[in-house]
Amino acid sequence: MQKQQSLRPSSVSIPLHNPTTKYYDLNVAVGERVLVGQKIAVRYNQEVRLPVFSSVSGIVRSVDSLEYVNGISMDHLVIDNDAKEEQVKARPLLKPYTAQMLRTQLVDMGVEGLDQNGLYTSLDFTNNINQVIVNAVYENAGFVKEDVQFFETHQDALIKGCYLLAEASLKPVTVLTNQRSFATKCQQAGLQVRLVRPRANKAWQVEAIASIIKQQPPYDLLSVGVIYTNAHTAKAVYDAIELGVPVTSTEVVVLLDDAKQQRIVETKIGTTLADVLAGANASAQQDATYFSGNVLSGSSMKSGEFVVHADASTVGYTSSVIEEDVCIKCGLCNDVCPVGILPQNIMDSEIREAEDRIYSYSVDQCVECGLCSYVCPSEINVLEWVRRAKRRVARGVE
Amino acid sequence: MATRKAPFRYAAKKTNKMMWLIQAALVINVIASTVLYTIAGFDGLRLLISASLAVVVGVVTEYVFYRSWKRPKSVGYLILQKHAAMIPLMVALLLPLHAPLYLVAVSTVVAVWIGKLVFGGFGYSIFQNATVGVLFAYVSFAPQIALTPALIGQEVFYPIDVLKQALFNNELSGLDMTSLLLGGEYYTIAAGAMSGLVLIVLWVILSATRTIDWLIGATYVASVFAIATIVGGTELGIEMILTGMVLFAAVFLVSDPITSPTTRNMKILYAVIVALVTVLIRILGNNTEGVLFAILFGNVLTPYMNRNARSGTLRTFIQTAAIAIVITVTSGYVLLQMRQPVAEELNTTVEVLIDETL
Repeated sequence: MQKQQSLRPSSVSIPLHNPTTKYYDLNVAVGERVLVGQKIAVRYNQEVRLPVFSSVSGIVRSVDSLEYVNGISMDHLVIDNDAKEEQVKARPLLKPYTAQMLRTQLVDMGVEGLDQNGLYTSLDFTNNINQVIVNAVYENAGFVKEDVQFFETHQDALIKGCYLLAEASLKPVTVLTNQRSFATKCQQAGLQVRLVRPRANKAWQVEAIASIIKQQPPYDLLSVGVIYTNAHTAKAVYDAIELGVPVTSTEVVVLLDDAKQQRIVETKIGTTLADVLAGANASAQQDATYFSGNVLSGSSMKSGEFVVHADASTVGYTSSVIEEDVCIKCGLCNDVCPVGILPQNIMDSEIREAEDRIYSYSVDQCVECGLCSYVCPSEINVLEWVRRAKRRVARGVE
Repeated sequence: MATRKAPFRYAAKKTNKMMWLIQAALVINVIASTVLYTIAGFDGLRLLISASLAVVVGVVTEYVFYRSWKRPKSVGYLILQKHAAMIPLMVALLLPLHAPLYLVAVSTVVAVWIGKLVFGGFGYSIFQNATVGVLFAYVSFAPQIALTPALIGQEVFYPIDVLKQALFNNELSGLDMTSLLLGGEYYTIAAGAMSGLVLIVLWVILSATRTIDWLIGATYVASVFAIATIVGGTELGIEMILTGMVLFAAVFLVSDPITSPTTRNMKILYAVIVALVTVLIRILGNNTEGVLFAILFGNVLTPYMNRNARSGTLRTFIQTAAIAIVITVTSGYVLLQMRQPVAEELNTTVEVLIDETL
């Protein structure tokens, strides 16, 4: 995998709100100059208030409506980049820390967890937390290789970030890794380590979490008191507390039709898709499907007009057309399912609307990893059928 | 701009490609068997003719079915997308070489129409399609399909018949295992089971390309071998595998994804049960070859097994393996106890009865 230099887009469009926090107060006016890391808005819903930061220094141009997730438009603040990279004064937390101070600082710095697709949870310390797990391998798509360069460059920051997570949660932190040297360093820092063997077509992280918490992981890990986050968030925790800077850039995997063209691009939050593609030496395709988020569980976009935000680890497009075939009952989905709920049998019962049988399967255990669809030789979207069964069971329970 | 649901990539393994590989394997088998029959001094070309005839009849049957159902499909679509040539090829390979051509046609129609189409076509069958057609031929046209010297023009015998006779007399068949493995000497009950080696090579290729699940075929052959070994030693085990259709079934019939169970654990149990019934019929039953009935019996059990399947963890896998071994060993031991003493006991009982009457 080829890693590109950090992108310097001429302008960025920063999402001001998202589907979970629908309202926002703007702190800056059009024409005003902003700096990197400056708080430009606060987004909120009834309970939470979260800051939004500028990722570049420059002049605020306008507020535009752009696509955020599949078909849903959100307001974005457009800032012209003057490329001076002027930062606001860093506000590192002064030692000694208390757990509450750490938590407040994390909220103030907008660290909620990058890569929210899939099983990852937000850094929500309000519930009873028993365990924090940091995935230090990479993303939950089996075929995306680990980002070795990231771990080499930011090793110390990462370990300190994990340690700070333990201090903030007052609970043990377990790091999942496949690098022995990194594991040793984590152990020296007093962290628990679990060596994993990430393999394609295997939900190895589900198995690892199951063995740590000694139970089948549910779809919502927070409900069993587990915070599951990734290495990038751990580094962001370090940045927010020790350096006092918020998340203004992210690493995004650019996946194009040809798997060999897959690249990691380090870019500012709010970079448009066109700029990211240009940075990856690719051009937009007319009839392709654009997607944002994980390959297995991300969402496809209605237009090519969207930006990179902190929640999406992957952007890309695919021109391939799904040629759905008949289910040949090969059972690959049953064998690959990390929670062992037999997706083929669930799909079969859902097609026949055999309610008794649907209830007899533990459909609520599905973690929606999407592997069942991914391995299907007939390109059937098995997960969609399982989701239907889940909705049917949920309706029945109510 | 098109939108769709995730995933945006699929693991590169396409159903169509898999089915074409299976059909390619069947064609290779037809060609190899034709050559081997010719070498052995039989009319090998007959297999080529009957296979071609079966394919034509099979495609026409599907075409007529969809037409009569008011959902006409083009011939190209049926062959390319619905794999209309696959089942006819299997039927031709499962019937003996001397089977009359009209019987090949009738079996193909039964296999395709009753086995495949009435259940909804490709992907929906309950019973292995080719097995249905061939069993129909064996049950309904027994005299026509029977091996008579007049039909072949020379003195021939099926290796499986020799084995059956040997089993009755409680001795080994004395067949040349190397010839059975390589092919080109004996006249086999299924035209496609001429050479064990060809089938093993095909099995390795199809398993390596992940077209078929290697586990199910391997478990089947291993179970047949294990049960027969317990009953009559290693020689009997090897004879059981190499005579008849066991290897053909391992490659094409038992590992057929559509009619076998959908979880790894149940696939193992399915293979063991089919193997058990195969050996049971061969040793105790009236029929010579038990494979086809065994597969049909396994197919009957498949929906039940699918419903009772549980998740595939290491623990359930170990449990399943343990159950499989217990079934194999117990049945082998029971068969061993039943075989010889039955005959002796029967004799002694008769003698006692005669004594008492006198």
